[in-house]
Amino acid sequence: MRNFSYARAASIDEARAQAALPAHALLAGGTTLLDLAKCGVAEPETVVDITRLGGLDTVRVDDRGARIGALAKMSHVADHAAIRAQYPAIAEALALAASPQIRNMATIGGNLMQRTRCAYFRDPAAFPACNKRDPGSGCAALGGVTRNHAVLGTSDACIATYPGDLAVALMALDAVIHTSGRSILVEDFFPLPGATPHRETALEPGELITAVSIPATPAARALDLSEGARPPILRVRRGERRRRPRTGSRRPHHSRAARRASAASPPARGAPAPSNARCVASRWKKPASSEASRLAVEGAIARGDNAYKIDLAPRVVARAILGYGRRGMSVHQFRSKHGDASDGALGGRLMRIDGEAKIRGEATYALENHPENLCHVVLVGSTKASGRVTRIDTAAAKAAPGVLLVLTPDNQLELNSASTWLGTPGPEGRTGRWSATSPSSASTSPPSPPRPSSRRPRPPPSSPSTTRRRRRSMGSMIPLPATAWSFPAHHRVGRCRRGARGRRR
Amino acid sequence: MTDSVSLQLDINGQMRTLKVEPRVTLLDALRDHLGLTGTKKGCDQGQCGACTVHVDGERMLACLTLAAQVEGRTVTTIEGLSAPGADLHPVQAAFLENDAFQCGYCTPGQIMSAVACIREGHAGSDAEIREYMAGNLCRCGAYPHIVAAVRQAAAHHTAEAAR
Repeated sequence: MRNFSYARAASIDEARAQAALPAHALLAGGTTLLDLAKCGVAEPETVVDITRLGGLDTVRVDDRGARIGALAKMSHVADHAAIRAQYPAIAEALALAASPQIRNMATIGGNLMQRTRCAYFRDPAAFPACNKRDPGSGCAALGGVTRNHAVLGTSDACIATYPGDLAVALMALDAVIHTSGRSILVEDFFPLPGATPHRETALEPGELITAVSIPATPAARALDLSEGARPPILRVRRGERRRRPRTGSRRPHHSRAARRASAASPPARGAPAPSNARCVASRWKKPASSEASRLAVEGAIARGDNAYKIDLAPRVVARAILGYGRRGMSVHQFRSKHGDASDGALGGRLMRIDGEAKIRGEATYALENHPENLCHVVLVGSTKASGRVTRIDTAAAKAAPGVLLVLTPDNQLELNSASTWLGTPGPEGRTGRWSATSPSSASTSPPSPPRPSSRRPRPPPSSPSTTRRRRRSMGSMIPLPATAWSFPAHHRVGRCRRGARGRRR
Repeated sequence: MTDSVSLQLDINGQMRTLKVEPRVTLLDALRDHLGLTGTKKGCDQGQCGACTVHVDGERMLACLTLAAQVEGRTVTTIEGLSAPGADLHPVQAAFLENDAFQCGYCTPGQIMSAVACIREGHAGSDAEIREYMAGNLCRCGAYPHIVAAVRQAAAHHTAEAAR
C-alpha cells in the first residue's frame, strides 16, 4: 500500500471540498478503500476520514418511509427493529452480507460505493488491461476465466459483476440516494458499463452520499410474514417489460425481474384479499415463478465459463418465489449437518499443553520471528489470463532494486533436498537442480526441456516426441520436483497475491 | 504527503503514543509498533478474521482499519481480555476446555469475535453461532469445538446475568 496523507473532515462542506480535489479519497468504514489500496487498485494521495461527521449515522422510520444515514453501519441497520419489521429485504440483504466484523465497520454509503470483486480488476500488477481502472486499456477478463463474471448488463468493455447485495434490494424497493446536492433514484445511480465502465456511479467529483431513503410501499414488506402483517401478492407486471431495454446483473438492475415478479400490488381484480402469505404463494406460484424465472435471464449473454449462470438463475428465482410463504427472516435458517463430534471417543476434548499460550495470544508463530537478513520470495504470475508459457523474460525483474535472484524453471540453482512429502529423508549430500543442462540453456535458446532432478533421475530426452511432451507439460504451470526442497534458512516464501473471493457485501 | 502522524491510542485501557505513517493499519501498529502480537495477521484483506479486535466494544478487523482512525476510541485486543497470569476470560476458558483450536493461529480472533458475538446476543443457537462466527476462518477445521465453546460461554454468560 502506497503511503498517503490522512485528514479528518470536520463538516460535510469540508468533505465535499476535499473530495473534489484530485487523488483524494473519502474514507468511511475502510473495508473497500483500504482493501483496494492493498491491491494497488486505489492509490490515493490523501485519505479523508469522514467517520467523525455528526448526524449522518441515524436511521429514521416513519409512515412515509425509511431514511438511513450514509454513515450508519451495516450491522446497526440490519439489527434496527423498525427496519427488520418493515423493510425485511433491506435487513436481510445486510445481515447476510460479508462477515459480522465487516458489517460493524462498513457503512451504508460505502456499501453503495464498493467496487467489483473481478479478480482481473483487483490485480493491476498482473493484469494491466482493465477498462474500469484504465479506460481504453482493454478487458483481461474477456478470454480469461469468467466463471464469476456477469451474464446480464455487460458490454464488450467490461463483464465484471456488481459486488453488493444492498443495492439490489434498494433497486427493488425504488429507493432514492441523497447526496450533498441532490436526490437520485437508485436505478439512475448505477449506470450500465457500456463503453465507459470506469463510470460506476452517478456521483460527480466533490459529491458525497448523505442518506438513502426507501418509500413505504407494500413492496417493502414483501418478506414480512410476521403475524398480522398483510402480505402482498405476487404479480408479474407484464406492461413494464418493454419500457427500458436494459437488463443487467452487471449492475443491481438484475433485480428488476425480481421486482416485477415480487412487487406488491393490490389484489388483482376479482381476487379475494389473501389471508396469509402461504395461500398467496400457492395461488400465484406457477405463473409468477415461471414468468419471473424467464424474465430473470432475459437478454443474458454467456461468456465462456459463466454460461452455467443462465441455467442456474431461473431456478434460483423460482425457488425464491416458491419458498415464499414458507419462510420468514432466514438469516439463521440454513441447512447444516450437526457437526459436533465430541459425543463419542473420536473428537473428544483434550487440554493442550500449549493451550493457555494460544488462547492468551502469547504463542508465537513464524510471523513473529524476525531473523536478520531475511529475504523475501515473491511469486509472479503471468499477465495473460490464459495461454501457454513460451519463454520468460527476467530482465526487468533482475533490474528492479533490491532483487537478489530471479528463479524460473531455467535457473541453475542448487537446492538442498530435504525429504519427500512422505517424510523419507533425501540422500545425504544430494543437491537438486532446476535444469540438468548447461547454464546457457537460457530461455531464448531452443530449450532442452528444463526439469528438476527428482529422486529417481530420468535420462535426458531421447526422442523429439518426449521433448514435445515434456515441453507441453510446462504449458501452464512450473513443474514441481517430486522431492520437497528446503530453501536455505535465510529464504522465506512470501505471500502470493490472492484472488478476491470474499462474500458479497 | 505526510510522512508520519503522531497518535494517542487507548489500547487495553492504556494510553499509548506512537508515530507512524498514515497508511499503517491498526493491525501493523499493534504488532510492529506496540509489540502486541496476540492479534494475528492472516489474509490481511478482511476475509479471515484473525485480526479481530474490539473498537468501542464492537468487533472489527484491524487489518482494514487505519491506526489513525481509532484515535479517541477504545481498542481491546486479546492481551486486554485477561491480564497475564490472571483468571481467564470465560470465553478463553471455554475455548481451552472444549479444545476449540489446534494450531491456535486463528484463536485470538475467534475469541475476540466470540466475546462480541455473545455480547451482541447472537449466540442463541448453534445455527446462529455458526452464522455470526462466519467472519472467522479456521484452517485446522476446529469449528465443531468452537461452536461448543461459544455455546458453553454463552450459557455461562446467561447464568451470570441472571444472578
